[in-house]
Amino acid sequence: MFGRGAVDAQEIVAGLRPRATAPPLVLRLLRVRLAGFGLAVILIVAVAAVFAPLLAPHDPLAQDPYAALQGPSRAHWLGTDQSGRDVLSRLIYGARVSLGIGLGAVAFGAALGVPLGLVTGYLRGVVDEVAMRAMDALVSFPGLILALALVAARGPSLTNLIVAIGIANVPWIARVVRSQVLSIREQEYVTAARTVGASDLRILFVHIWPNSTAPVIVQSTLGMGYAVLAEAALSFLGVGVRPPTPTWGSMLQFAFGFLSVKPLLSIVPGTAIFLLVLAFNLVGDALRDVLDPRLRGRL
Amino acid sequence: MQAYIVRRLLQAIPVIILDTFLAFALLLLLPGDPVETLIGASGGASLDPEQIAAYRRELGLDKPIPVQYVLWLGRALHGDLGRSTRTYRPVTDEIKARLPVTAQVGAAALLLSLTIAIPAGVTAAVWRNSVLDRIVTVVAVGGVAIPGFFLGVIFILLFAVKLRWLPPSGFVSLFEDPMRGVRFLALPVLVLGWESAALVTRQTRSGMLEVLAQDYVRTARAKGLREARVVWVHALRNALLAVVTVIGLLVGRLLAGSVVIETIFAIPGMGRLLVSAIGARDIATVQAVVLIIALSVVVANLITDLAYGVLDPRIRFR
Repeated sequence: MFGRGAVDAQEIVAGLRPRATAPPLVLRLLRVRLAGFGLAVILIVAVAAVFAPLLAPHDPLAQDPYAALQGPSRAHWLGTDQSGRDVLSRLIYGARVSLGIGLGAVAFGAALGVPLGLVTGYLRGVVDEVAMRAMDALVSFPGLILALALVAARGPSLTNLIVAIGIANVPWIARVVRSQVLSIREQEYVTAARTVGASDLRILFVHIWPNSTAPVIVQSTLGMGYAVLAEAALSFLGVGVRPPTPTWGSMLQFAFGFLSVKPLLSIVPGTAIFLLVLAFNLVGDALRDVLDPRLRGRL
Repeated sequence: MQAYIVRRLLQAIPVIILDTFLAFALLLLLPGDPVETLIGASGGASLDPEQIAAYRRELGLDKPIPVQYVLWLGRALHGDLGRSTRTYRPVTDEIKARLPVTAQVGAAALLLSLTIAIPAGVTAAVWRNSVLDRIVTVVAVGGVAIPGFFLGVIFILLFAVKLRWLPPSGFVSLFEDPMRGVRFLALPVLVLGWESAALVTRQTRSGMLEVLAQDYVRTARAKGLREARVVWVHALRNALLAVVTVIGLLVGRLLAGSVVIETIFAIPGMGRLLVSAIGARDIATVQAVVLIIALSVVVANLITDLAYGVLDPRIRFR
């Protein structure tokens, strides 16, 4: 329809206007339903984790047998647990474990998954086939079972927990990166780079990787939700971070014994876990909507 | 179809081998000498080196790792998964007692979640963006995020402690005493089914939305079929394909969830066995439970894919 000249004219006009840049990611995110709520929850928990010593009204480990199992009061806003420890302070300090292990697990998953996805997607062939079958096997292990098994063998140190939870993220990240690489490597700019003599490594890390980060961000955010949930579950089962370190999962575990007397003790950490996991899921879904418009409008 | 089945079965073999190797490899991850852990040498009474060496030979632990793996796998295939270091009973005996319990709870949860989730997903899709859709969506998104152990705690608090309708914990097999069994199963099944229901609802809804936009749905409407028939017969049958794809995933989740649920509700199944075995560092039992869970997921995935091939002929020729 339009001759070549018409398109050129349009381009010139477009070039004369001030360039329309996309609004920052955070603003685009906030437009997605409930994403603002999710971001707010994550921000609050992050602040609590970072500034725990400043925010916590009491020492989270200080026991006071004369103040055990108290209800909310001016001194203890959320009451005290069976050893007379301040629940609010333990909740604030518990945020450190949840976020710390979550971040560690996701970083571990990405550190292994990204290179694996890049290399398998780029090389294809036998390497790809073998690696992807290995990923299939890993996925067939339910994440929590895998984490339990690893902690059973290696013991519940912080590093072991991060590896045990993070390893479940590896196949998911490797798969999304690989599928991204598979489509990007056929793009013209990759062919162009190859034509001018760029090495495989340069093509992979300078041309392909920067263009495949979006799904990694989405997957990592969703992975945070899973990691928080898994850490809480392991603590609840008594195979997570060792006491007396306060974690939301272990708070819930100890409170379980006092469920009929002091339900609040269970409800507080349980709600915290629920809200944080929900927040990561909401933000992850919103990021997918914003960064990957193909999926917009679907659940 | 035969070619598809054969191809799919062949694809499963490497996954099964890797799964078995992962379960075997747990032994290699043990700090220190695995023999000491395996025979449960308690702190004080250490075995003399000759006994340890004899035991090492008996288990083939003096051989190279690949040989060890093949020997371990060979024994496992003959139903010998070692002995528990806690009870000294064969692990297989313990599993035989526990597996039916977990299967009962898991199957009931799967059934419950499908019964709730499919109608919910269809409703949400048909009345898209309505209040009903919003409610279903919010419950489904929240349902994924709420930890099973917290939901279990809330349900116990509500139905057992406050209302006193149901027992807070314990297990009675449905096959022994159906009436009491249902009362004991109600809460754990509800909690376990909830999580899966959330996933199935999302899957049904997006599947239905896709199908409802297809030409053949328009054709069905155009030839004057009642809307109910269009939705529940023409559309749903095709939308369910999206649900079938996640059944394998569901089985994995149910098994993982059962670890937590069985602990909360004191149900003597595989999950509780795993947790108590970890506490006792009973690695043979851990290996066995992990292996059986992983293989169950592989089999579930295999059945899912085969069912998918039967239901959707396009898959077979890919």
